[in-house]
Amino acid sequence: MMNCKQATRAIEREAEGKLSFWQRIQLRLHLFMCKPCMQFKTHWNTLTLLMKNHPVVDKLSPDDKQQIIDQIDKETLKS
Amino acid sequence: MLTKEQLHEWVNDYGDDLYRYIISRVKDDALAKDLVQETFLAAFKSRASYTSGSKPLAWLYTIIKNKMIDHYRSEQRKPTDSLDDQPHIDAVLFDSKGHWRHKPSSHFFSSDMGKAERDEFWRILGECQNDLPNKQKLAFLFKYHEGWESDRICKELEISSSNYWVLIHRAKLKLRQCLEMKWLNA
Repeated sequence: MMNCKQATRAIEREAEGKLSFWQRIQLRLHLFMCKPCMQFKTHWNTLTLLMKNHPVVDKLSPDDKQQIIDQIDKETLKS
Repeated sequence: MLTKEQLHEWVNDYGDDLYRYIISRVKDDALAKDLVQETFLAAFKSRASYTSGSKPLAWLYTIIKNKMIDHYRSEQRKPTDSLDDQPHIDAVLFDSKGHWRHKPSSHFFSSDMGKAERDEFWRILGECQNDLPNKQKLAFLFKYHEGWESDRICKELEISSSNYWVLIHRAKLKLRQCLEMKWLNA
C-alpha cells in the first residue's frame, strides 16, 4: 500500500506521464481514500494554473531606462 | 550592424518586455534590473552577430535567459548551496511511516481573488520561491516557467534523472508548505 510520502512523489511523476499502469492504480486508490493527499494535489494544480496565468504588469521606470542607456554610452566610449 | 542609437531605441521599446519576462522568473527587483541592463550591454558587445531584419526581442530573450542561467549557476557553485537542505523537508512533513505530520489545510487559496489579495499572493509566492536552494529553484523555474522537458533540465543542470525528481519533489513540497504558512497566517 502506498503511503502519503510516496503518493506526493507519484503525483509529480503522473503529471509527467512517468507512472506505470500499476503505480497509477495505486495512486488513484490512495487519493480516493486519503483526503490530505487529495488536498495536496488540488493545491498544486491550482498553483500551477495560477503560475501559468500570472499577468505581470510591472514596468521599468524612465530612470531605469536612462541608466541603461548611460551604461551603453559608457561602453561605447570604451570600445 | 547594430548602432548605439538603435540600441537606445531598443531600451525604450523592449526594456519593459525584458523586465516583465525576467521579474516573473527571478522575483527580485534589483536582480531583474541588473539582468536587463547586462542583457543590453551584452547585445551591444555582440552587435556584430546581430543580423538586421531578425526579430530584436527574440534575440534579446535568448540573451537574458542565458544571463539568468549563468547567474544561478554561479550562485550554485557557492559552498552554501547543495542538493540537500537541512532539515530534510520529507522528515519535516512526513513521519517515519510516511504519513503527514501536518495535513495540508483545506482552506488555502482560490483562483478568484481580488486585486489586492492577488498582489499579496504573488509577493508571498516570490518570497517562497527565492527561499529555495538554487538548484531546486532552477529546476522549478525551468519546469514551471519555461515549460522544459525533464531531459532538457537534467542536461542543463548536469544532474541525473533521479536527482531531477528529488529536486522537483522537494521544491514542490517546500513551496507549498511555505505558501501555506505565510499565506494562511498573513
